[in-house]
Amino acid sequence: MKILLIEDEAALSDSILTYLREEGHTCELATDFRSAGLKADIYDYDCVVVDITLPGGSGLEIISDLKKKGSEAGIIIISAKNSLDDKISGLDLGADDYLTKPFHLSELNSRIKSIIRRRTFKGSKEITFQEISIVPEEMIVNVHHKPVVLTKKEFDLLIYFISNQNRVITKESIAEHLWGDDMDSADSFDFIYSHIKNLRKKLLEKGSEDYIQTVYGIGYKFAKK
Amino acid sequence: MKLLSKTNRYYITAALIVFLIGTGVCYFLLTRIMNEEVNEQLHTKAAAIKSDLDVMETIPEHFISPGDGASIKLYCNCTPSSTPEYLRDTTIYSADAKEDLTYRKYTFYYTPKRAEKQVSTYLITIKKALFEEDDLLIAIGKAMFFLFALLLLVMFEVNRRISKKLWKPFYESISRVEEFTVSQGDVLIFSPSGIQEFDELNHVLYEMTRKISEDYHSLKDFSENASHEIQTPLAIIKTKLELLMQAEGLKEAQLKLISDAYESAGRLSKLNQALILLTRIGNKQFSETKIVKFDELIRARLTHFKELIDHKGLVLDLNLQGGPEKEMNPALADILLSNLLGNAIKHNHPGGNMTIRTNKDEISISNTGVSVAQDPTHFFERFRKGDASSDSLGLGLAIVKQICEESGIVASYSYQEGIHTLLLKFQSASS
Repeated sequence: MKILLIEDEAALSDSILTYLREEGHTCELATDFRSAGLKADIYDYDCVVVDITLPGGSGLEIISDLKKKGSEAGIIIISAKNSLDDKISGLDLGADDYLTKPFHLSELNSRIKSIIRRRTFKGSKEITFQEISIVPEEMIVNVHHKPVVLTKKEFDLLIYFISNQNRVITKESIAEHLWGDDMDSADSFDFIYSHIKNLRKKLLEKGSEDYIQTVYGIGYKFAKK
Repeated sequence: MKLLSKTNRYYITAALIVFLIGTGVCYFLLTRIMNEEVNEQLHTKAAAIKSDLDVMETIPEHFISPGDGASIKLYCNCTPSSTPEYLRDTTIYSADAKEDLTYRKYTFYYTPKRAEKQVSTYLITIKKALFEEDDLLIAIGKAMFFLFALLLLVMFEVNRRISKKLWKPFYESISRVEEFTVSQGDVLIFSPSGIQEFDELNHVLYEMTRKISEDYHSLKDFSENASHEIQTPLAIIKTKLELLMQAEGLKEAQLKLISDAYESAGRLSKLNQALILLTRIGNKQFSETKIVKFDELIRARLTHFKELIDHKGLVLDLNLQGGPEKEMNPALADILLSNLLGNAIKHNHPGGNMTIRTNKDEISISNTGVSVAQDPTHFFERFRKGDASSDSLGLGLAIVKQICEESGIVASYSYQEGIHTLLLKFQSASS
């Protein structure tokens, strides 16, 4: 997938690019308003990740230009301002999502994938990981073609895991992914643990291998052993 | 002590001293004048007697012992070598007045100038009653006292009226300053009073409040900007650590280090976000309002928390009796309830109780939990935690308080027999 990252902070864009490239995406970087506008105008991307405050202009303008052009690209805003106004105006312009800095790379990755899924495959694409297959739109999970009944949270958790497969995922990012910002993460770790326990149990019962590994002190990793 | 009573006190002291000196001076002047007057009268009389003796052949009987206290005695039929004269004060008991009266006696010798050979010299004594000094003193004292009292009375009244009028602009300024709140962002502007001192005071107050407002706002802007600027480096730290933990072959000890650093960066970022939120509420950046139906909101929030409540095995007692409906910012109402419900879950013990009651003017959220040693009045302050070792930020209730203050809700906390209760009082529902 082709992704354009518009971000002026070099250290931050470095990390994002590294993470996304390891996912197999083709990523390009624009560090200011002018070059971002040029790139967005010339090339077609599957997803554009855009910072609002840029040297030379506002990321919001780039979004409206993209939309005027009729671009099919999914758009994610990343902003240091947790401002409701920015969020609303961004989403009104046609952005798909809004992430406040600092965010978890795993969260950004999972949102990019979800947007690409929705935009490119109209949500009908099956996600598969070994013997597990998921139809996100219909909330169906099969292991060896046998359905597994999951709760909404367990389902979200599984998709989050698979989106960030082979990556170490922190407890904090899981907590925020499932609960949003207003949840005191430390309080919900225990709760996450029980969700993961249930998810693992349900998958194992249907004959799946155990892919959920605990990473000491940090969180989890969803990977084939 | 009021300024008026203070000045009055000084006035009274000064007036008292002046009047005492005045009484003394009056007394001495009057006695002196009267003394001179008596002496003069005695001398006049003596002169009259002398001229009478000059023309008279013999001294008439009534002249020898005249009723007015004069006496003329034949001294000798010669011309004394010296004819001394003297003035002397004596006290004579008066049967009429039944007291001793003071007289001035003038005694002198006189040889009439007649064309006779036989020269007689007379010893003449005349006297005159003196005004009694005690009486004089009392009279002067009375007069002075009356004047003094009159002066004070007039002075008090005049002072009272003047100060009422003169100090009016001063009291106006004071009440303006009392109403001044820096967070409202306004500057005190006074109308000119026409009195230089007060105008100077007003000007200083104006300059001061302007400076305070300015500093306050620049500080506010600064803290908001600083908080935003902090977010970017934090984002960098977090993403770098996230990348680092993806590295192959990390040992447990290294993972622990990364995890601790990551956790702290996360905490810092949450803290920062909470502070930004507090600043933004204070800056009135949540100005859009609509009618918030709190019963509905509570139900919606509880759905969000339901799994967590179930997970902790809490027994929920929900008693919604047509809760408040208030015009306020919906985002703030949401944060308010999330914080309160989150607290009631977080500070509860597993299997505890959680009670939510509402009526038209109140929402009460209570939960079981361990008692806290701290003074409940400090609960709403920033960075106050019931348990110092807890990893909560200590900003939750500060945010609650700030939202309540902005929205005209009164929040209070109480603890009784193992139950923590947070009560929200809505002054006027749906106003």
